[in-house]
Amino acid sequence: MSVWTDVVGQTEAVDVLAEAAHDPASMTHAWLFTGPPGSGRSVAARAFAAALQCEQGGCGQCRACHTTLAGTHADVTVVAPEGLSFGVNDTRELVRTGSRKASGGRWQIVIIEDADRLTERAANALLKAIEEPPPRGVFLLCAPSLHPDDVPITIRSRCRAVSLTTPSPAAIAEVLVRRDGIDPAMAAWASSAAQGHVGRARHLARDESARLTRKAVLDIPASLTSLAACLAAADELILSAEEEAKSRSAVLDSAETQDWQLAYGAGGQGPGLGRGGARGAAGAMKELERRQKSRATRLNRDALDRSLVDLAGCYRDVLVVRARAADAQLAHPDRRADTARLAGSLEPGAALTRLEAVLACREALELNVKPRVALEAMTSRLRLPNS
Amino acid sequence: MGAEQSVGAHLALGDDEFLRARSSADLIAAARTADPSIEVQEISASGSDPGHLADMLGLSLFAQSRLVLIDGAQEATKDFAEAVAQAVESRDHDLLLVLTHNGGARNKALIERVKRAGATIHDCAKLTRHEDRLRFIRREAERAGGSISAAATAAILDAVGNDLRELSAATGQLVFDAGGQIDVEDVARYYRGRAEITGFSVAERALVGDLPAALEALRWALDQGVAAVLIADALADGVRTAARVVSVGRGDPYDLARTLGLPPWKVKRAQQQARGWRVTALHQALQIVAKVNADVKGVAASADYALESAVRHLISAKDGGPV
Ligand SMILES: [Zn+2]
Repeated sequence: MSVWTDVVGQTEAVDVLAEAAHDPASMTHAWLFTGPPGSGRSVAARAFAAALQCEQGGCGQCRACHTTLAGTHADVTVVAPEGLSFGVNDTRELVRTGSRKASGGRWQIVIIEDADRLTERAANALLKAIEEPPPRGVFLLCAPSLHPDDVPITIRSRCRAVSLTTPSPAAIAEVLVRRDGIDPAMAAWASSAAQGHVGRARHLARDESARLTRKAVLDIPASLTSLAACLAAADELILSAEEEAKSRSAVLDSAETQDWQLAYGAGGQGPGLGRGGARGAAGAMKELERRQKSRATRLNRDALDRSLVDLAGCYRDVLVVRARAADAQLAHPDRRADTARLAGSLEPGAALTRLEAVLACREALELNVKPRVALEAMTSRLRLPNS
Repeated sequence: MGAEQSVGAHLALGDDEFLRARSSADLIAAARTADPSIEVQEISASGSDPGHLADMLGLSLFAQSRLVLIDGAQEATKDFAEAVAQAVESRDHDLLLVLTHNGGARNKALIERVKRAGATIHDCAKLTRHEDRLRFIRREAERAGGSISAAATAAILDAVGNDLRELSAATGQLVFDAGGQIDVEDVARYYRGRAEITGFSVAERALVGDLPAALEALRWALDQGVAAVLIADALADGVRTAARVVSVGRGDPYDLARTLGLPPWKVKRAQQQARGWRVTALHQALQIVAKVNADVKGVAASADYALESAVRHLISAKDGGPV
């Protein structure tokens, strides 16, 4: 059992990282982890951090390994910018962290989970630190591989790249059973339904409502037989994304609000607050609310995007079925019968234009087109021929 | 207003800033009506200390009666809150004290003491329910000396949105314009010339297929400085509503209103606008409004041109032409 056990299906990357951890003399001070969504970029970065802090290069047993993986190691700072963009002030603070002397660990490590969300000025602040790294400072940046351009070339060119691949369903199922204690049958189903996304597989395996939402989304293509059905499908997508974001926000928000109460006392009037303490508490609350609001927006977008990825998978599967590509992996292997029926009414050309409609909708959402407007235009284009 | 009401205390309590300001303005106006010579003083609780209050309460040598407004009691320091509470409790001043408080947790003890001392509480909590907002509009009309029909009330809320300050201003203006009784036609006429609604008039004209009128409305809206994004949203709203009305088929507006979750007057208007739209044309229209929504957000070099071409394409789609 080493720190690498939970880095699912990434043999090549793990070899590179493990070797680097064993040879501190040739240490690179900045790394960029890229990989498709759900491939475990931040899991890999944390494992690497643990391997660097561990005396034995990542035994998985010692205190350094445990605290790093649990997120409590004093010399490992993990940043997951909850805002849609990560500001310059946050980055300066981080750069200072990176140059602090390690308090007990071997390295002072900063993990930036969504480096693609850095603002330009923030990226410049980070660049300075990467150009002249403090002797024991290590920066581990994570970004989706879909848009490598989102991380400025100036930063990318100074980082050593680690690219993760889409893990296989078998590798995902194995970790769901071993680490999360999920029933093997459920783990096998969820990993095959998650399109290579580890977190998504876990969510599907554990959460009944996530499975229902997925089913509702996958039922959409065959349902689009009228204008009314198109409008209803857009409503359904918006509503289920809102509900999922709301329930996930509620869990995260209440934990944070409890932390706030611990820090400031109920109502911000707790003991130990000096003059102006209440004002400080109110300021902290305001800041927390701002972050929570922007995270809720992001969760909503992410949920919507996940539904669109599922939807795109339906049309891709139609193409696979129509091409009789026997050994090709289906996005939704559990829906083979539905896909075959859908393939009966969609020529390959028709399936392709619908796949394009889904991808165009994702792009429109990135351009901040109103979700309802973008989704209605999409479901309208997805309607079945002759309807 | 009798003499007994010109002494005592009032508390405008709640999280709606407009309602608090409105409450205190009403109290001041009523006090002035009762006694035109009343001396009115206003202080903000934030940054005031007990000395300020003592000064104000001490200035009683000449004035017959006085009103002191202490705004934002939640911001008061502990000492100042204590002084205010004592002033309310002592009641030995010939004055009317008006406090405002946002209803939050800060200085809650002050609220309790003021309540116990018998102050009149004016509820200024934010209006969250649709019916409460409708009632607010009705009261605003009465306040301005007029009255308003139910359809017009809904139309104002629909056109203006939930901001009470704007609702109040619009209702007051409409009572004045309509000479007392506001009907739904008055609302429509009034909003045809207003920035918030010009996007809707562009959409309305495009949907009925009147190209010259739609382009004129568009140019006028852009000249008025209406944001291109708002006009694009209005086009999308118009097309969506028409699509929904057409997709559920013909029917009684009141039944459709329930099915679609829209007020009946809006359904009627949408039915008029949807006349002549075939389902295929509506599918095309959904694409056109989505494209212009992206265009005005920076995809197109010129947002004005993108809007104009969207309007042309919508009308062409309705006529069964190329889009
Ligand atoms: Zn270890």
